[in-house]
Amino acid sequence: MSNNHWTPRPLCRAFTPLLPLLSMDALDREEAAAVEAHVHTCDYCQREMADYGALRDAILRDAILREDARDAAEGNALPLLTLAAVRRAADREEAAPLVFDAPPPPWERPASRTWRRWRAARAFEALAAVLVIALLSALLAWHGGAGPAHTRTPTPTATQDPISQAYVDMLRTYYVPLAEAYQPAFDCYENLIGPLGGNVGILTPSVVEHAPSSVLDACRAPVQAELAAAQALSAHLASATPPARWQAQHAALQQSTQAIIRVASTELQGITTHDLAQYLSPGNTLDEAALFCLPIGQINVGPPPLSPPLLTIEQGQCGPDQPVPTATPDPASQAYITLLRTYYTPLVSTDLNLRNCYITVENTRKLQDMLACRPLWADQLLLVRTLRTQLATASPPAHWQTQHAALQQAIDGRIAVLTEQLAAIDAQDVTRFLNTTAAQNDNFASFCPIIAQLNAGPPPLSPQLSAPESLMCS
Amino acid sequence: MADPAKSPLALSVEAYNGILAQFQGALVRFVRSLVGNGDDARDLVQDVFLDAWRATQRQTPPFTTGANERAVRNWLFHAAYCNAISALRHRGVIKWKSLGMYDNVDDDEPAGPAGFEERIVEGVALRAALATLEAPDLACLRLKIIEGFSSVEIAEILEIAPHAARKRLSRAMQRLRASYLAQQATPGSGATHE
Repeated sequence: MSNNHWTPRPLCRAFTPLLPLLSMDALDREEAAAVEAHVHTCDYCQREMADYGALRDAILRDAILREDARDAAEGNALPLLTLAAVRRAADREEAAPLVFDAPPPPWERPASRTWRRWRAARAFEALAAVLVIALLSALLAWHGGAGPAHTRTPTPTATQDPISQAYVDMLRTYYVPLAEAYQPAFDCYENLIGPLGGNVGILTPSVVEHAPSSVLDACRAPVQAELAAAQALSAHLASATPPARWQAQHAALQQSTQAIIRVASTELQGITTHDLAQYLSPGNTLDEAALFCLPIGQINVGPPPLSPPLLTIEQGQCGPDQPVPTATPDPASQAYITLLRTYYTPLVSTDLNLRNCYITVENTRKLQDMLACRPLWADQLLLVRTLRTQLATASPPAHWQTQHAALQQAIDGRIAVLTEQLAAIDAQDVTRFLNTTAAQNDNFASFCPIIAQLNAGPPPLSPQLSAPESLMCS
Repeated sequence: MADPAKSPLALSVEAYNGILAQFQGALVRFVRSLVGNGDDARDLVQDVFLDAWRATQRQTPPFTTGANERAVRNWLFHAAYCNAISALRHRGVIKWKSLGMYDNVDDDEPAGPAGFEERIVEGVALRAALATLEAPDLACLRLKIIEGFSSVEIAEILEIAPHAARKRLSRAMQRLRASYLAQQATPGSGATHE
């Protein structure tokens, strides 16, 4: 390859950007034919093409030779990853949904635990996993980090939207007392089971027959308290209006609460009639109590990120985001997102054209190239002003008030920059145009954290719903 | 864990295993070229295949029966690219600073039958020039030249418009050439190969 000092012809300017693409077979047939026809008659472009072809070959040759050598040098011959390893990793990360698994047969239950404790232990493992995920998400969000699947940079101190906040307040008032009341009832059950043989799964009729029924009286008060708390929660769940994104969790909480009511009622009936067998019946093992762990854990994590995420100014500047699971935001958030998708996204998608036009001017420093950029700048300014007008009358959800204000501020800065650039173009001052454009990078960067925060969705609850100890969830 | 093979739409375990075997090598090399570290690349690629396994279980396209190989390949490279960029962002390194893709492994430099010295010199200048590119530009070049993706596929992988992918490809190659020529012009660079 050599420095090329041949003089380009006027037509070369149009073909120059296409030469690298031709060298990489990235043009369609008609384009390639047109470029090849020009190159055939142009010494300058022939030299350019030769350079690009040499670079392409060098990349390919170097990659093949060196990467083969590097694989060998690292001593880790491929394949390095096995299906078993992937499945193990998936098993580890999918521990939480195990609370919904069917119970194992008695012979697989741990002999040292009662069935009830076994379920509680499973629930503990499940919620521990959920809470760890929640904690990690919150930490990542706090530090502006990103998980492998997407970027999360929510503001931890932001407030929930009113509907979510009301729902969380209801849970704090009625779910937490139930979780607290569950613990004494659970302890009483354990204290009663232990002396009788320890494992309800293998409890024999003879053990039940020889147990003094009077021991049941000690459990009456805790079970009554548990039942009362469950009934109160059930009543308020029935009249509550959960946000759209928590409908599934709401249904799960109702199901779990009804199960606790059913079990506590049966236990209370056994206590009243001094019927130990009824109190210890398999139906009283409160498997369903473990179902609280997942919805409460999910609510603690907070609403999910946007799907699909809003585009950043240029993917290369802020970094791309992976697709994230589909989520349904609350109506206020959805309306705000829709507005941004309508008015912000076009601004982003045309930004790359401006950048490319700028690069051309930067390289050539030609007045005519700068003047050719004017329509792009005028269109962009119109788009940005339209977005600014829309945002001025928008009603963002409570949790995005900060981002809304920051976005308007960033847009105002963008309008100022674009206006100055247009003035430079109209003044036919290339240097002023380039200097102003170089300064706009800071303005671009100010968009990145805002969009990342919006993409991350509303933040996790703060403080988190608790009382997992009494449910043996943590 | 549910067995995906139970659904008629689900990709069989054997098919998933085939995907794993077929693409992991290229993916590790691709990610390594961006993050510059083999161990990190392996971790990131494992995450890619973990996501692919979940998609298989959910029977999410393209991981379904009769999966289109190109679509699977695009999906994997897209996920790998996102993981690599995310990892670079964690490090605060958007613009690639190390030699990365072409770290020196001169001890293992395979000697061709001819042009050994020329290739060494060429490699030094090329790696120095590549090191000046931003990660997305480097990814573009690699996806096109080494992996053979079309510009439309590159656009999907980088989540940009097809015309933007072409412009990025063109720009990356022009920048690489300018940087390569600058390396040659720098006294003492050792890259005097014509």
